Amino acid sequence: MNKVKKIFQNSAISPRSIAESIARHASKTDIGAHQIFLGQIRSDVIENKKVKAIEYTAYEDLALNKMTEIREDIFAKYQLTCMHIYHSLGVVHAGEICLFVFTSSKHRNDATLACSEVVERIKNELPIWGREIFEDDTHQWKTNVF
Amino acid sequence: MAFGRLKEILLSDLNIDAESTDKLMENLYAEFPMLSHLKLRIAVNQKIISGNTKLESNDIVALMPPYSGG
Repeated sequence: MNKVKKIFQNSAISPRSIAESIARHASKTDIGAHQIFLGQIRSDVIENKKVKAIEYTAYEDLALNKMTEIREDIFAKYQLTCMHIYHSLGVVHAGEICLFVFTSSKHRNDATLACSEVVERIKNELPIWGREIFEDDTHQWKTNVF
Repeated sequence: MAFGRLKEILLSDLNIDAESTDKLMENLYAEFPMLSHLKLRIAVNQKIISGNTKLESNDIVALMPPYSGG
């Protein structure tokens, strides 16, 4: 069995960590293209109540095993140099980043297609739940739009 | 184990005697009628199941409402 990589962090994903992640690839000179997806917490207004944050929880063991399976599929399908995935758990406020998917390849097509496919599979297949917290501290459970 | 909005319905993880996942769900639906409105995925010992599955003692059953990550 392949090594299970961690993807969860108990905070928002900082723009600094994204920049640092890009910088770490400067030494990998066989890469010609990066594709990045960033998911940001949107302040939806539902029945006059505004979302101020989303609290994420996950079935972490199952999510990490599933992510390992997705990773293997993606590497088998596309010519990628590397792929990095970070998903927040806990409370992430509106305007902050909660998902960072980063694919790199020699030529742009593989990175672009792989990134988009991984984002879709994360949303469909990983046991993660978002609780939308409104400004008055009431909440509702998020449903994903496809 | 319960996740997402199920945590609010079941309130905590439960220890239940049941010979199969169908029997387990029958018991849960009787006790928590609200559950029948949710489309649930069920995992036994971290494997998602698609049909009725026999349970042994100490098996861990996870009830998962629709995912909403990302």
